[in-house]
Amino acid sequence: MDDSRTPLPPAPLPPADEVEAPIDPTAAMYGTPANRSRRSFLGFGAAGAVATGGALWGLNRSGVPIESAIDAAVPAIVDDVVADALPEPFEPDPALAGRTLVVVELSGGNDGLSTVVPRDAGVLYDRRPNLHIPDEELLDYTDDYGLNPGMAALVGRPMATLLGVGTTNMPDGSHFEMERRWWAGKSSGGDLPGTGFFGRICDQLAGEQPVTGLAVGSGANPSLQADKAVTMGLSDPGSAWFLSTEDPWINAFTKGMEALADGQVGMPPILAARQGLSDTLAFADTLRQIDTEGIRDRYPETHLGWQFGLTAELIEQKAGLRVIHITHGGFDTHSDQRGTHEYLMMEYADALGAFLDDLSDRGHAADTLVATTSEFGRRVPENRGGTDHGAAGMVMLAGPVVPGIHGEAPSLTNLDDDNLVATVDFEQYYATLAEKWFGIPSTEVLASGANPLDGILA
Amino acid sequence: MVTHDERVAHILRRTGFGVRPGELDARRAIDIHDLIDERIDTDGWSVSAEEAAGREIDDQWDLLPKEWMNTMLGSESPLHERMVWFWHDHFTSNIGETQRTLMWQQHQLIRRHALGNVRDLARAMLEDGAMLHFLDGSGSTGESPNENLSREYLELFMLGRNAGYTEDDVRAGARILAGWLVDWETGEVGFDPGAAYRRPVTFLGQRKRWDLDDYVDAVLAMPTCAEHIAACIHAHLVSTELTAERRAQLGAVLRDNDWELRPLLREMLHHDDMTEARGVRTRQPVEWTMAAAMTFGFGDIADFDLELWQVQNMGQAPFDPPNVAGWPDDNRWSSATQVMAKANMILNWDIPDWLFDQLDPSPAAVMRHCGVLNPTAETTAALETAFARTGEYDRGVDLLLLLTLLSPDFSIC
Repeated sequence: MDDSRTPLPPAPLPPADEVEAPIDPTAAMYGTPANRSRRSFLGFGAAGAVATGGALWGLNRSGVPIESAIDAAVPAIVDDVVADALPEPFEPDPALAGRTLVVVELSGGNDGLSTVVPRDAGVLYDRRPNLHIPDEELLDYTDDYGLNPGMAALVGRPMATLLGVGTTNMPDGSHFEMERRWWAGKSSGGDLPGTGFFGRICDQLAGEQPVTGLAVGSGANPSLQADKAVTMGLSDPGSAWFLSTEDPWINAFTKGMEALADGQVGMPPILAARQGLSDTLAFADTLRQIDTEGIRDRYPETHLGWQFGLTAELIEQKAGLRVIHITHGGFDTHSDQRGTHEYLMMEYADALGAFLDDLSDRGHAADTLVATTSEFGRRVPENRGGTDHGAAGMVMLAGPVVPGIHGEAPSLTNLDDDNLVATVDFEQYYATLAEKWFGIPSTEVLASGANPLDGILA
Repeated sequence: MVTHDERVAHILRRTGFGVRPGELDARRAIDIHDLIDERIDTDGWSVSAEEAAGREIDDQWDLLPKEWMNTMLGSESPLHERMVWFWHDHFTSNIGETQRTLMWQQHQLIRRHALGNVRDLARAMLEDGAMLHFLDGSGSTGESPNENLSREYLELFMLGRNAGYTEDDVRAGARILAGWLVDWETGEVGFDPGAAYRRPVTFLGQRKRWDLDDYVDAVLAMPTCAEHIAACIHAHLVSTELTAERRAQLGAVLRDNDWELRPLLREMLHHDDMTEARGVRTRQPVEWTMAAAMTFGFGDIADFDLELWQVQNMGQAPFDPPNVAGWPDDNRWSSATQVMAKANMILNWDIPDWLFDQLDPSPAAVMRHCGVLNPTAETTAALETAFARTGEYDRGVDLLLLLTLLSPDFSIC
């Protein structure tokens, strides 16, 4: 091998194995590599699908009349059908063109009852004797709810919490199944469209600049799969290293890529490939401007901190990104939940707190919304120091929101097989993002045309 | 005018995953039709039952897809391997919704029938554990039938959307297919007559009591069935463009040969449509990765330390299709996400010494080595300019090789 390629430039991110993180109990599954070893400069391997265990699968489905009224009424959707059915993009409101949505996916199933915790909830002391966080340890949030003790960095921040979010249409206990429904934006499951919900948002918003949606830190994310817009996944920001090095061989290589991107005529697949090359190079210009030293100074040195730091840099550069997707893994807390979860929430709060400060300093606080979700919540009773896969969860929104609790809290006693019953369908939450944040009619991006919720976004 | 080399490279790409070093030279004198027959008349390759059963497949989350990709790369029966890939994309199932052992069993089932008989494969799929998990056949009862498997079997797998069946047929099919249960612990597939629907059902115009053999035969007897399956194979191996007349012809070949695949493949691959369909298909990430690895002479994924996340970063992983329709076959596979992930991967590969020695340091020689025989003028110019900047012998070859792999011309097949 040629020597000039051996001294690889230092990646701007700390290697995964140097970032202190609790062992991911979901690691045994397909899709989240158990060994996130950082081979040479390449990034964190967790990409795309995160599918777990599924021990419940096959048992909890017997005898369920799957074909719901909705499915019976609406023709089965496969990707090409959806593509055909999508109307022409409507005209987006130019007043909203500066808005960015940052999606934080807490992967593995976040325990909402330990995140934004109801006060005076006697039933939780009974059902979670070793797990429930006592009122006196909760951090200030509202009169009726307190924050997980790990979330100190978020106390006093503008945060809205929407309770009871999940699917009102046959929840499923499989990470895989529920993630796919969330990614695709179809809460009832079944035949899923070939695009992701945020990809369809990007289809509506794509403008002049090369990339409209970006997943940082997890490679290609199915939620950003678009029909027309360019959306990208970076395994990590360092994966663009070869586009900004001084090494002469690499420079010849990237110059060659530029030349390969050139050319106006050809068969459609050739033109598409040239477009892919030129999008990459154009976006690399953006990545080259990233101030990695600044990120290091302002953010905690965690994988999540780097993702948020990069996000702030990209927003600052007005690079045309409208949706940025961030992943925070490790929430499948079947055991040792109390310590693990608090640690994860601390990582989350510290990184998000730094991000909100950064946005204020840069003047982007009013046009950036951070939406945090998870594929499902967890069951009410504890089980050997942890909790099992649940149903309804919660959504946390930070930024220009009406702070406090929204929605109807799911009953802690009237449960469905120990599960919280969803009071809001996640498609309504998605409709809220589409209509109230981006000004996109929900019918443009959701097959169900779900109604948005009022009073959450400022 | 299509050169002999071009035709050979085209057949190698489409009836396998790419062109191996020296393969074009070795085929210089072969009659193209002999080459096509040679690709079709293969015994195929499969893991022995003992070997499959003995694997500790639950220990490593990424073992199965890597095992499969390794087989794709090193197989001596490339068309068989290509058809295994096709059938996985056709009779989709997802490893995340079943047990790994069941997914692997389905994979072996596909291996057995990949070049065999469509009826056998279609029939076996109805009792396949991974399929019954994926499309909710497991646990479906006559009293409360789940329509998922019935619907997709008709719509995607066998007939095509709205192709001669009705919603009533979907509902009736769900009753016929009810009664199966896959034991989550043991993976055992069982039929419970008590959970089945025992009364007569009207399905595709016939009213009677059905078993799975009757069901499959009724579906196969639909005039749309053979055409649909032939068109799906044609889209994968040849082209998505197919006239109604040709479609009917291909369907007739499949039906008239009692659903045997080889006569159909012979009809497709020897036809002028095959020669004409050069460069119209964008390689999917796994296909691209295999083709690229072949240009380096790699015969085993360990030669370049392939990890599953590397193809996942390009948006694809074996056993993990995005939905029941499988992976979309379009130009999305050469977008920026893929370019970034591809460049990162190949910049990390070591070029074997023998390749440096063997390859002439010229754009044309390197592109030929990669099977790019009729490059666009833009790609040729780009490589010549890049090459002129270096000049040193070995540095030039690896630069040309990596740029060829990232070129639009290599992204298609």
